[in-house]
Amino acid sequence: MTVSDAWPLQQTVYSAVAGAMAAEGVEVFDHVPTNPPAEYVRLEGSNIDDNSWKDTERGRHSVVISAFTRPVGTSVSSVGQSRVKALCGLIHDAVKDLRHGKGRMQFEFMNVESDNDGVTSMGMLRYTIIL
Amino acid sequence: MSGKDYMVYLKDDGLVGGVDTLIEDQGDLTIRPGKPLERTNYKDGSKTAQGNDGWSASFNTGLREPVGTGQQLVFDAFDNGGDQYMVIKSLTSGAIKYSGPIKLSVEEIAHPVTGEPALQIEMSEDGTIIRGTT
Repeated sequence: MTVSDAWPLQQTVYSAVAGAMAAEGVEVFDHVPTNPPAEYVRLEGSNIDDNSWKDTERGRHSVVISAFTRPVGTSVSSVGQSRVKALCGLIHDAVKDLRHGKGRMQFEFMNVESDNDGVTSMGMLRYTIIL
Repeated sequence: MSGKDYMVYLKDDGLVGGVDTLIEDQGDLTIRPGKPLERTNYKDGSKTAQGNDGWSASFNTGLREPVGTGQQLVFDAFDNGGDQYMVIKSLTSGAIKYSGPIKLSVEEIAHPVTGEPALQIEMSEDGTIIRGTT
């Protein structure tokens, strides 16, 4: 059942990303943290598109991972893109060939931009896997 | 009724009395009954006749790892002249069913950079294809 793969898949992705971020001292969440730290990674919501054969139910799971860097305290200066792009590189190395069940992650795209507040840099990576 | 209900089976021994074996991971199936209309125009009229190109069908599948039992029957037939006995049927009672001796070929095996391996399989009558109901 492909829908029931959603949570185990998230656990697999979390384990890979958290492992990559541990040396950087960056926490990984799957929700918006209260009082977020200056740097953090978030596993965004996922979705599943039907990719079934006639005789086998399958789904194309999309996984979106975002990295944030933002000023904290009294500073309101933007922190630039250098750090968030470095974090995205580490996330990508950890996830790009990740296997779960019989599936293998497929990289789709990366997008780096400033968040709506104008001072937070955000990098977003999207992957798909068929399960 | 759904196109998804109609699937291709091969006999486990390649003969009419064998066990129907599902070919795993099936995608789209197209059946060509093989009797197109052929119209000939003359200066003073025209004539239409029913042709006979022969029954054929094509479908695509994924490629299991390890290879599925039904998929292995496809490769075995392909490697040995293409002879098999196919059944196309739905599990719905009263649905159209085709059965008969065929030759099959694996027309294409795709291994794309993005996506999964896929087989394109062609079947053509090699005797009488019977159309009945389940």
